[in-house]
Amino acid sequence: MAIRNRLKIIPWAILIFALFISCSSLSTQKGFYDPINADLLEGEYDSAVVKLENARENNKFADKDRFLYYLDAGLANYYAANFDSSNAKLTQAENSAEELFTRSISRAALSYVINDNVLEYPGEDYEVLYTNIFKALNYLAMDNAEDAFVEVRRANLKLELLEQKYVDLAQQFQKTADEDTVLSGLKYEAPDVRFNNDAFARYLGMHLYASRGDYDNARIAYDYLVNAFQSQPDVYDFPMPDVKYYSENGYILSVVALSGRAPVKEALNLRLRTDKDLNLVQILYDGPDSSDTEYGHLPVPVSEDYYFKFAIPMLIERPSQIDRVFVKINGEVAGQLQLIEDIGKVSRETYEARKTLMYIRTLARAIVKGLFAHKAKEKADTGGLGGWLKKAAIDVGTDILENADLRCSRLLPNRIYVSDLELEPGVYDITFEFVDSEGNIVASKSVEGYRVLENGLNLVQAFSLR
Amino acid sequence: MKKIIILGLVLLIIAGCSSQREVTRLDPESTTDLSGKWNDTDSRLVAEEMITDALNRPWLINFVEQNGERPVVTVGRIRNNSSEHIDVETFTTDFERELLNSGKVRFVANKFQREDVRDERLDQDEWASAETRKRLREELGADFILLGAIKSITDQLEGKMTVSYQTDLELINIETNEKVWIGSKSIKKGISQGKTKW
Repeated sequence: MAIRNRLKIIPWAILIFALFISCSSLSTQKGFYDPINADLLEGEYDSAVVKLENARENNKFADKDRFLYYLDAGLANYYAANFDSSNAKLTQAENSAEELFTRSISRAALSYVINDNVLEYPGEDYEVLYTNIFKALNYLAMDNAEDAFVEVRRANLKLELLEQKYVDLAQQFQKTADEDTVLSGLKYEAPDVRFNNDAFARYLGMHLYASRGDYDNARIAYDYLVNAFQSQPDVYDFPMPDVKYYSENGYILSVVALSGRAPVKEALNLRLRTDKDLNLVQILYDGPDSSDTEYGHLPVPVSEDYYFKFAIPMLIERPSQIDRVFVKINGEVAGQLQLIEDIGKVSRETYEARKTLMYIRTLARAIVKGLFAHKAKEKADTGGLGGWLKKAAIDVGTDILENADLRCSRLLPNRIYVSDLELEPGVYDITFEFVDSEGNIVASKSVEGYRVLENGLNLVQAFSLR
Repeated sequence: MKKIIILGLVLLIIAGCSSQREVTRLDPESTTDLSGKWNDTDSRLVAEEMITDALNRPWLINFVEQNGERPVVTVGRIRNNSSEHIDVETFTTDFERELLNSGKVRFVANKFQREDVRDERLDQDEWASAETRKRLREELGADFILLGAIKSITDQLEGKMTVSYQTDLELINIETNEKVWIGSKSIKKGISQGKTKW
């Protein structure tokens, strides 16, 4: 009798849980980004800012996702040349990431029952890193080298701490796994994060030092830049650009161009099959001919044969029309910009470090939820239409709850190109031409009357997200 | 009855989610550390301590003995070489205030203020009456300039962070480039953030 009374509490507990998460969503909302991205591709940057603000007013960003709102609002404002507003938003993004370091126990518990979308989103490491890089670019656009330098230092500081962060995560996971029956037996070692030195941050640092006349530190920053390419071949698998911070014949004009759009997370829907004879958990996905294709397997002891569905996020490239970027000075081609940073590769490298842990969690959740649904369906199998409806309801409920966490910035550019030109002090008209693989100009940007100074930093930036 | 209790519980949860803004007036001299970042208290304390140190060193007595008058000082550039955005203007004003209020030195406007004052004098030269017009080229030249930088070193592990701020100041004789005083002041802050919350 007492047990029956306790069971009556369950629906109420679910109601309270539902109320608790009523402000959040069970799945990632991303459809509202489509018109924003369309605006960015068309160069309608002010409109993109307005649409992003409207999305926030229409509760498309829950409080748990505030980091994403601030980051994307910061980026949209950067594209719209609202550099002050961009910095204000990016600062809030950085602060949110720091606040969200503290994990919510209740949300973590809910995530084991529902999915990772209920967790607060503190940003992927690469997203947090680029808050500082874009703030630096904003400050440079506002001719504030000192504050730009602060942001470069902050970016470098975060990179230094990245490796330690994954060692901590691995230790935390192992502690949980040792106490958890579902995860027991699984071993997780800290991934080797092969990204702790950002070439573009070093490039900015090098020029900022040189602009102060501090050529010793400019050289050290240059050495770090070289090291970024040499020690991180997975991230920098292209030739290092020919950069220079000092010229005996003139003064350096640095040109920086951003292009394309960084990869985004999309769902990969998988199925999980257990085999009690082989003590095997097999993960399958739809192959090219819609047949079951194995994604991977784990040797885990299982007592029955089950078949569950689950979804994981994958980073998917977004195509870009832009193949090369040229710069013209007073109408004459002065050179082709060289790639210094592939944000897509940086995002993959830092995401990879966290991915394994996330996949293990998703798998564990799928097993627990699948077992629960399996038992519930056995109980509901009373025959007739009623029993069939109950089983169908359990299947639908399980499917609704299982969603991949696809939260990520959808406004980051994909590539950064640079070139350092030697010029005499004076006033120049500078034009960037973004060109496709066939040599057609996809986009261009002109900066008229740019004054190259003898003292100080001469840096011009442009972008096209096409 | 049970339903009423549960309903009450639900309402409590909803009410618990709402927040009210509360405003409290604080003493400007009080020490307030919210984020752990460099703040007005740090700026004020560093300025007070370093200027007290600078004014109690032999260079001041030596100058007065040699020249028979108080030295004229100006504050030059204090660079922010830290990894935090520090309002160097507030910091510079704190130094100026401490120097001026000490009464031991004479003090002239900094580079940016001088430009504004010169503009005003040129304007007077054109438009003010002869009786009230201020003369050009009668500025009081500074004997010393105070230059410096703020650096920071951050160490972080598992939600714990220490930030050491070091402020280095140098007082330089403008005519001879002689450094007459070098001061350094460090502030170390420990910031910890809980790994979990409910």
